[in-house]
Amino acid sequence: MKITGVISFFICTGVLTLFASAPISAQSALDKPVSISIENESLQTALEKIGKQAAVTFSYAASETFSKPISFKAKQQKLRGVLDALLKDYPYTYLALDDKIILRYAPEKLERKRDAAPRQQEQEQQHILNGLVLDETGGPLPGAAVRIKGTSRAVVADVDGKFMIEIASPQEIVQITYIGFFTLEVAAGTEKQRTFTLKPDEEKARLNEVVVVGFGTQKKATVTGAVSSVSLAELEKAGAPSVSNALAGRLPGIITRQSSGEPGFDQAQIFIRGMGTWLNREPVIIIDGVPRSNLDLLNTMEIESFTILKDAAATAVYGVRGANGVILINTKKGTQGKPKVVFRSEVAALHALRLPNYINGAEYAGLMNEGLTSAGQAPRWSPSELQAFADGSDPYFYPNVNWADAILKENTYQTINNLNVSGGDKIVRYFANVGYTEQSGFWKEDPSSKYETNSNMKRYNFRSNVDINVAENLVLELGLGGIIQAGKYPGTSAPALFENMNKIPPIAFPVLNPDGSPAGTSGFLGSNPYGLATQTGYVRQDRNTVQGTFAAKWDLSKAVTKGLSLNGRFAYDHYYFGNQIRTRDFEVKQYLGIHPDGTDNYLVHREASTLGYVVNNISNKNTYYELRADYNRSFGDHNLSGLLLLNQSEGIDITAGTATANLPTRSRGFSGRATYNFKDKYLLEGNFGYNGSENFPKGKRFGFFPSVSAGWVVSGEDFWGENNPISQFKVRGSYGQVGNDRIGGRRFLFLTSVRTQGAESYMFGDGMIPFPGIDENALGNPDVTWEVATKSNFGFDFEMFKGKLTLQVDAFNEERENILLQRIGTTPAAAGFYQSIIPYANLGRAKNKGIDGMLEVRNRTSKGLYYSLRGNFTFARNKVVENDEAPMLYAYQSGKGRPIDQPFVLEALGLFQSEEEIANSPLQTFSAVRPGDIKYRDVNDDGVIDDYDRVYTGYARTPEITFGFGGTVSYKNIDFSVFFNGATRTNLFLDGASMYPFLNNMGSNNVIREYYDNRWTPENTDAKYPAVANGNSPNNFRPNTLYMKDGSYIRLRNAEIGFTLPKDATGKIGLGSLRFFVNGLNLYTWDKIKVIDPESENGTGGYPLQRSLNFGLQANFK
Amino acid sequence: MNIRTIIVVLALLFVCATSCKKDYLDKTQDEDLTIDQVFESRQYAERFLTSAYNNLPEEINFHDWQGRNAYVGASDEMEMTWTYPFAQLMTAGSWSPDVIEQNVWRFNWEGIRKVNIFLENIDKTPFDDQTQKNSFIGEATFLRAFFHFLLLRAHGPVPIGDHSYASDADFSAIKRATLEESANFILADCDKAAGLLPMTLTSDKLGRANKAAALALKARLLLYMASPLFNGNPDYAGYTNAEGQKLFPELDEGKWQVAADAAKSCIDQVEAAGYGLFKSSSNDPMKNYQELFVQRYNKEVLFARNMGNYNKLEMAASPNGMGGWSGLCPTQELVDAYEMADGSRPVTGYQADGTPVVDPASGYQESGYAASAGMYNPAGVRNMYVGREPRFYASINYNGAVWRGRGIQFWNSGLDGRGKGGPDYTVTGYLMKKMIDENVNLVQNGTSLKTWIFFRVGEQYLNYAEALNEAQGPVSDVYKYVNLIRERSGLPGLPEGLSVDEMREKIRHERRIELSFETHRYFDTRRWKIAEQTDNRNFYAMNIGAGSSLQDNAFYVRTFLKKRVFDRTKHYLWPIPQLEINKAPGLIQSPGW
Repeated sequence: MKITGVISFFICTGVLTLFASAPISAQSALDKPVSISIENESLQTALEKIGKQAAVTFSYAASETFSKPISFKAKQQKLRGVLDALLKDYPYTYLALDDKIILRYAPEKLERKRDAAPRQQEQEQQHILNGLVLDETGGPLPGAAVRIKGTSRAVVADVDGKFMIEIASPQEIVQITYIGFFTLEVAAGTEKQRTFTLKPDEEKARLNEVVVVGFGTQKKATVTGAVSSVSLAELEKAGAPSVSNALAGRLPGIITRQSSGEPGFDQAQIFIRGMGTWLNREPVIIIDGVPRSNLDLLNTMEIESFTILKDAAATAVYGVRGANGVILINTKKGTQGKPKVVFRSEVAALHALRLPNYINGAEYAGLMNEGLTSAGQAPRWSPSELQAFADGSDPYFYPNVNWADAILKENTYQTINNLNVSGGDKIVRYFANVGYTEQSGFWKEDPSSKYETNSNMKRYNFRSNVDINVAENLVLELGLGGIIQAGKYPGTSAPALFENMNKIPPIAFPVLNPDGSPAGTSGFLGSNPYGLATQTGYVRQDRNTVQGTFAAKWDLSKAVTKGLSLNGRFAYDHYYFGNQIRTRDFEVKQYLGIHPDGTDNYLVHREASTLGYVVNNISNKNTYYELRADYNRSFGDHNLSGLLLLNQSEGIDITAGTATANLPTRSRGFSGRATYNFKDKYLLEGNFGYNGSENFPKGKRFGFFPSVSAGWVVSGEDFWGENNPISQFKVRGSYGQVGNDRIGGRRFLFLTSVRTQGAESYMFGDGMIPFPGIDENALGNPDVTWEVATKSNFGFDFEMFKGKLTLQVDAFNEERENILLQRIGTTPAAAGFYQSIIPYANLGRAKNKGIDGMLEVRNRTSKGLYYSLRGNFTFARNKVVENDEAPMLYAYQSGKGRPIDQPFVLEALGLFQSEEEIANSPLQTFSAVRPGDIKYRDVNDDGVIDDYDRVYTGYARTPEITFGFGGTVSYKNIDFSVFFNGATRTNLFLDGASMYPFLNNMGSNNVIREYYDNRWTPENTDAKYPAVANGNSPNNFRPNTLYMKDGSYIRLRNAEIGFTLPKDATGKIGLGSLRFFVNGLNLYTWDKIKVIDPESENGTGGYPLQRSLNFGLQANFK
Repeated sequence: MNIRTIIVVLALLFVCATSCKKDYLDKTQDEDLTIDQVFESRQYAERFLTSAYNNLPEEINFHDWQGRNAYVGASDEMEMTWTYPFAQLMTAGSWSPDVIEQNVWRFNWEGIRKVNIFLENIDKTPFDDQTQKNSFIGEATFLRAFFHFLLLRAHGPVPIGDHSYASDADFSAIKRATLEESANFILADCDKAAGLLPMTLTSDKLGRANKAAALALKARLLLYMASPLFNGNPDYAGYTNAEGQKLFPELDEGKWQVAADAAKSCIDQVEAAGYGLFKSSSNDPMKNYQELFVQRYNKEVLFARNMGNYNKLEMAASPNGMGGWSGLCPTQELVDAYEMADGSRPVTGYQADGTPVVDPASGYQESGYAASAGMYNPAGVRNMYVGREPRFYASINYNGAVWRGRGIQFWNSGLDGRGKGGPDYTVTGYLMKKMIDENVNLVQNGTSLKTWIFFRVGEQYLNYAEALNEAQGPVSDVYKYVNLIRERSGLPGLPEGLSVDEMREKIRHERRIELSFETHRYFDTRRWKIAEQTDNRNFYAMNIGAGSSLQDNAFYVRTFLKKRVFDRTKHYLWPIPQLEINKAPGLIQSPGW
């Protein structure tokens, strides 16, 4: 047996060597023709010669018989024949593995010649096992480790899950291990071809699950910082073109609000754990290890992992800029295996939600009369005129237009398609994706128009990530992403179109003149919404991005010490934004009736202009370098890891308008991490970031941001017991500091400068020749330095029933100090500084605290029913502590101590019901009041209602609480999931033009039905809104709580039904799997506002959000 | 791939990552200038001064965009069509230190900082030409005086901005000086500027400050300082700063003579240099007045703001049926104030319900229509607009007036009427015609080179006449200068033998008409302390909500427009924004606020 062992070893070496070398397509080396002629030379020499000729190598354990001189001849014979002849008298058989030929010591070969029968059994007992390792679904498990228990024989399955191993006896135990699966142990038996199926070990997989953290990954079980991630399958269900739209309610600790559905402008605002400051609140976004801001240009299908880092422990390594939290996104990479091709395509019908509901012409005219008569003036319209507005008998002179209907359609479409291929072997792994996304807008088009005016966004995504094992210990990583987004919009922007719809009354003019041109009068000159939407030209916007990442990882385990590696990373990004503005004024023509000669009589108020051509570009390039050393090693029960990192980045605005703005934006940082744990039970971690910023003077430039965190896996203790239903319980806490140097806009805060470009100028001379000026650009502050956030976090992870229920809860507290603020609040105007030049200083302070958590239940019954329920919750509440506000005349008007962005408004007590009530109330000074006007609270009790009665009240527009919950059920081929999200503790002001009738004089604004149906009249005294006035009503149109609405909502965010074709059916059409799905986004909303979307900005709504009904399929090709 | 290659790759990466110098985070300083560098160069120093001119208020923006000119719309001569101008809050009495156009206080201080930096540094600048240097210093000094004056006329006593502040200065030192100190600071700057500046400018320099501007500012300030609001005003006798110092001066009747002397000195000096009352080439009395405001830099203009190619005033004042916004609406009260062509007054007062008291001897008729065209009016217009003085026809667009080639249709259903909706229509039945260039084609978005006149000779005549009448009574120079103004516009001279009081009324009336819409009316009614009579009452207008033709009587019914509010306890002066007082408590609030 001893010899057998040696042989096996060689075979194994051969197999391993095979995997380590470049793969050659499987061809039989044995069919190659060879010629050989030797005379009294050794077998060894013969093999060498043959090897050279046939380009094969021989693997064997040489014995003395090999050096015995032999003579042999062969001419252009197949290698197979040559070897048979050559080895006829040697105790060796051979085995060809591609270009390797293994000589196997086979004493039975010679014996068999003598006594074939008795040896037959032994032959069967000792054999080469050709194995195949599969998972439950029949997919291969490349890289599975195969070992013969109790021996040193071990091999690794290849890309197809195949392996070969020497079996010395049928009683030997074959042990196959693969991460995330139960280890399989079976007797080798005598069969030479066998398939092994591994069963997934979900619990173990979960324990070994890793999460992406700053500059690396960590085992989830040992993480001590506050980190959450979302499964990409969840995000795909939203069927939304922008990633940020798919996030709502999906992760604990993230607060999003989407206020527009306009193609290309539908991004949601994202705050991690709410707002820690009232200035720059944006989290840092890191894509593939590099700071990159354009999250919404990515396709969900390109994303491998999406993680948010919330506390100081998790973000400290980003020292600079970590204060607002960090979003980490890694794009997909190839894994070992045959090429996997996935195609996903979806097409959605989009339906506009909550378009403005304006009152009709007759109602509007009646409202004008109501306003006038209530002020004691004569009505504007006679009954016959009111009738004309109502019956449409004279549409050109008594129009009745619903502007929302005139320019908006209710339905449009969207499609998202992705095709990707991934695979690889031990040497090269690749992922490549191509995506096409198109979303169309809701604007109607004019059939006569020569160009398209409806908004539309098309995006092409290309991405390729290739990893190459250049050598055993060196991996190169090359990532390339190219994104082309082309947007097209009407010549008038969506906000402007909505503004005009809110302004133009239904009776101002018809949509079109008799000749089909946009109608108009001198009033609202050029403001016909239909004209603005269809006849003002178009705007094209291109957003092109190239993202290149090159990285290398050098494993120094052998060269220096086990567990040490060096990493380098270089990235170059180029971003281009181009705006081609081709707009024009359309002709404003008023139809005056018919001339005596029968032709139409028009009065031209404004002549048309031709399409203009204005192009403006923003283009910038960013480079990023990083060098880091990682160390990761276990010494018995002691597990250690370390990270040291140096990075620097440079961004250049290539199209900057001034030389100063063109200067590179630079940062440099040094950061590190050390973790230690004992038996994965007692966890300790320290992080630091040491960062420099160009914004601060030498000596103040670098900031040191340390953090520490610790965890205790209580369930790992002996007293917990193996069979405790609570299978995991971990408590953890962190404390540390992170910094911020971003203020948006101004740079080099310590420098005082004067500007020549962009300075105020003047014109002199009779011809008024422009003379350039020079003025102050910025005043520097030599003491300015880092803004610092001190964060603490306490949380626990909890699992029951072997992972069927998991709960994670985190409580956090953040104190932001030295907030970078301009000293505007305390610098009097009489000192003469332009506000823009006032220096920044570390003035502000804010606090933010809250709690977030998630609960998940999931189970697969023995009958194959899978169900899961997920819920998460985020609460974050902040407070301004110091904001450079000068002492207020009335202390209650101070913003200090108030939540960031809390409304500062008058408190409405209701509506005045009688003159008597007015007489008995404090004097309201904004304008004379009548019954039906808003009654305010006299906060300072001075008997007068004025702006000193404004108070901070209500909630900010960004909600304090957001949450999401949902579940999935799947059985056999059908799966179904629903997801709800919501928010509360937020207010929205339903105010603005169409809630303020006649704000700019009688007949000056459109009116939405919400106001009309709920206004005060002598007959409807229990009303929500004030009576109509005969013009501006400064008393009623001041920001006040009457218009403040509870912005809470719960949305059926999406639901999906999927059907996966049975395996045998897909097999027949040559597919690995095929799934059809139907999903819907924004299917239903429960809220208190009803009139506009509860996520809208204050006002009466803008470009609508959409309900989408999305049909799609995902095919995985074999 | 051998180990050497690996090392090379990594070494390259490392070199890339660390190739930067130690000053990686430093900015190259040569990109930006410092103040010191600016004043090392004559050209750059001049450019710094140029930017200070940009702070001259754009008073031409009547619709008081960003608080450039709230004064015209807040005085009894005009009603803005729109509801948003700050003037609307003022006339409604709804303004306060908290509800205020902050920029009125802010803008001038920004200009003052610029000129102070200029004056503090200009001695470092090498000049070959001393005259040019003097001229620059004179311009800056004038601008500083003018910016202070603009603050003083609105707020009364103001802090003296005689130096620039460092950004970390102690701002609690910012305090109101007394009115007398404020005025003396301005006067000293005027005198200094007058000594350094040339009287006239070559055409390439028009728009720069000159000696005439300095003299005119001085005369106007002294007139203000002699006026009842600022001279021994009993209402302000108890208004003191934190130290108990009175901020308003005691009565000094001698100030009228000082003001008269300054005005006379200004008139004499500028006329000696070629300035004088403008008359058109045709010497048509209407054109004499109308073209004064359209022909830029005519001989009457002492100082103006250059606006470049501009049409916003034309847009704001033109009828909505002609591409305009119908925004600047003269009040019925101003229309009534224009004299008849023979110098008689058509309307001598009002009944409580707003009905005018018509002097039948004037020949003025409220009803009926002109059978034939008059010298300046077309046939068919309401008799109200017939036989009025030429300045009426140069200043007011009324229903039926011919403008840009057609008769104006202000009646309800007319092309320029209120129509079926929209915020742009005349609210009084009139639009401002004065200062508007009729030839600017608004339908085609045309513009013209435009100026806004701050100081002109005609104003100085009236300043002189007013001050002299107060100082010496209606002596011959008083008649002379008022009559020169009237004569230019084809009106007979004032009747002989007027008393001081009668003459005062005549001069005030003359200022109201002659200087209409030039921002003077707001400050005149305040410095004379008559705003409670002029501004705290009901205003009336033509019935723009009615009428279907030019001769539809329904349109000409005087209709209640609005009640304006003026509170004599506080509205004579502007408050300082409360936010500014919070920041600099030494700025005590204006009286009554």
